[in-house]
Formats: sequence, structure tokens, C-alpha cells
Amino acid sequence: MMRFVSTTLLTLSVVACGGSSLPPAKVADTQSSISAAAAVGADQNPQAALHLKMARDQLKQAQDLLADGKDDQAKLVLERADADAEVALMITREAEASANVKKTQGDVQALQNRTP
Amino acid sequence: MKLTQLLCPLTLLAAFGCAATGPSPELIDARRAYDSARQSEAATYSPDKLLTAKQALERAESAHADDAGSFEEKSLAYVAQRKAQYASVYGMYEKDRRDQAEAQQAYRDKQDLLRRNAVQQATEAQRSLAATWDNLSSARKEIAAQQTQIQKSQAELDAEKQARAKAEQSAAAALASLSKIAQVKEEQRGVVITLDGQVLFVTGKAELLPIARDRLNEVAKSLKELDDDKLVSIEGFTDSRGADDMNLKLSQDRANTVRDYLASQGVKAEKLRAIGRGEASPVASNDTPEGRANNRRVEIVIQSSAQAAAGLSSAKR
Repeated sequence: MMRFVSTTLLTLSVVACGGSSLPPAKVADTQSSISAAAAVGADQNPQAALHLKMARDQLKQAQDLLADGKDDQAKLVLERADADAEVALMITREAEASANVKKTQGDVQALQNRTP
Repeated sequence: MKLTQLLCPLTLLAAFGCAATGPSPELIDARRAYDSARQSEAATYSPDKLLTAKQALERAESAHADDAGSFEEKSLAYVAQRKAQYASVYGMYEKDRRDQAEAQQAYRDKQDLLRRNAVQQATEAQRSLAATWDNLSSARKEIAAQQTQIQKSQAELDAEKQARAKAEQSAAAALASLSKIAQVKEEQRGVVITLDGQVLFVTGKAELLPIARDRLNEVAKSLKELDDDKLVSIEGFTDSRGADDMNLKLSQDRANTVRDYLASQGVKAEKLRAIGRGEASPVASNDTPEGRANNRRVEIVIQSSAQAAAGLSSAKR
């Protein structure tokens, strides 16, 4: 009896491993990318917010696919989520940098105007 | 079976196959995005990100070649499109950072310039202030010198005033002592010292009696005490006896004698003026011996310049 149980558990675990080839760290990485984008304020930038929403939706979709054992598709969808999170982050940073440049250039102009 | 009959279904199959292997909309978007990224700032500022985008596109192309229209192709194309977009935005971001660095440098340069200008202006202002201060110091010194001069002048004035007061006192004292030997009166034409003719001259002559010299010495002493601006008019008078012209000449001679004597005793000659009035302006009746005695006289009139001028004009009248 014990031998049967052990064999069954071993078989099940082999099957499980084969069905879930995606390491859990991958999901965590995507979650980190999304958090990083949110942390820089991507939700406040309309264009970045759109990408962030797509990233979150795709993360959810990937988790659903994982739950359904569709690991290969989940992996691809996670990549998409990652790519959107990266774009959201970069759009936010670029907007901030662009605003900083405009401000500094404005400051330079103001100094220029003060020059007798 | 002819070859054409065999090829026709194959061609159709191939044509069908080609239609089925066309790129997905995602792949078309990815290619466009990559082309756009290549022409963006990414080419200059983020070539590594552009390379990543290219590799992502190649993966999508490969997936398309392997299994056109597959979920994998669409997903990888989607990712490739995002990587290309990321590369473009990253290029802009890098350019922003460089622009920012340049703007900050320009700001610092401008600030330095303004600071240098301000320092220069402050230095010039300081120099100008120093010059003004020097001028002020010079002016102060000048004022102090002028004040000293004024104080000195004031002291001189005071001394002069004191000297004048003293002189006037002396003159008053002298006149007071004169009143013992002569009649002294304050009149509009000046201070008039009247000397009796009888005690001065030999009768009918312009010759001084010995006693007259003592009296005239006293008069001379008083006149020497007078201020420089005083003038002395010596006027001779006779009584009415005798011819008018004789009397006029005698009175003139007597006035001259007195003038000369006073000058010989140290009274400044330029202050002295001798006038003969003859029998004019009697002070008493010529009908009695006493009256005539009073009319024979010499008047010494001490005048200021203004009084002398008035006296002259009245004499001319």
C-alpha cells in the first residue's frame, strides 16, 4: 500500500512539474516591474497609465493561464506584461525629465532676462 | 496527366499557403515601431535598447516563420513593438538628460556671470564710495579750516571791538578832562570844544599866549586818542568890532595857528582842517564886553566822516 502511495505521489509531482515549467520568480519579476512603474507615478501620466493597466490586465491573464496549466501561453503573456510595465516606467521618467529640462531652460531664460 | 494539370492544384495550394502565412497585425505594428525607433533619438542616445528591440523583432519574425499567425508570433510581435517603443522613449529620455545637463551648465555659467558682474559692480561702487568719502574728508577739512579762520576772524573782531571800546573810553576820559579847561558840547555837527579866544591869543593877533600852549597840549592829548575815522575842524571866530575882511582873515590865521600847533604836538595833520568864520555865528551879543569876549573863540569840532561831509555842505551854503 505504502509503495503504491509513494509511486502515485512521485508520478503526480513529475506531472505537475512538467505542466508548470514557468518558475514562480517570473511572475514576481513582472509584479516588481509593475510596482516600479507605479512607484514613479505612472498612474498619473495618461499614456503611461494605459500601459500600466495593460500590464496589470496581462499579469492577471497570465495568472489565470497558469492556473489553467497553460504555462507556455502564460509565459508569453507575462513577457507582454513586462514589456508594457517597462514602457509605462520609461514614459513616466521621460515626461519628468522633459519637464525638468523645460523648467531649467526657463530658469536659464529668466537669468538671461536679468542680465543687464 | 499533363504537367499543367498537376501544377495547377499545387499553385493554388501555394497561393493559399502564402495567404495563410502573412504577418499578423501585431507583427506589422512591431516592424513599423522598429523602423520608427531606428529613425528616432534612440539611434543616437540608446543604441543598446534599439538592439534589444531588433532582437525582439527577430524573435517575432522567427516565430512567424515557424508558425505564422500563432499565439507565439502575436505575443512576441507585441513584445517587439513595446521594446521598439521603449527604445524610442529611452532615446528621448537620454536626450532629455543631456539637455538637462547642458541647461544646468548654462544656468551655472549664467549665475557665475551674474555673480562676477555683481562683484564688479560692488567693487566699482566701493571705489566710487571711497572717492566720495575722500571728497567728503577734503570738504570737512576745508570746512574745519574755514571754521578756524572764522573763529580767528571773530577773535580779531572781538579784539578790535575791545580796542575800539577802550579807545572810546580813553577819548571820553580825555574829553572829560578837557571839560575842565574848555567848554565841551555834543552838537549835531559833532563834539564841540570851545576855547576862549582871550586865553589863546594876543589881542588882535594870531600869536599864541604861553598859557594857550598848556591848554592846547591838553587838547592835542585828547585828539590823539581819537579814532582814525574822526576829523577835526578848527574854526576861528571874532567879535564884530573892526572890518569884516580883517576879522575873517584874523579868524582864519588863528585857526591855522591852532591847527599847526596841534599838528606839532602829534595830532595827524591830515585829520585837521582850519576854517576862519570871522564875526559870523556869534554866541552872544557884541554890544557888551562879556558878549564880545564870548564871541572871540576857537571851536574845535570833532566829527565823524559823515558829519564832516554834512558840515562842509552847510559851510558851502
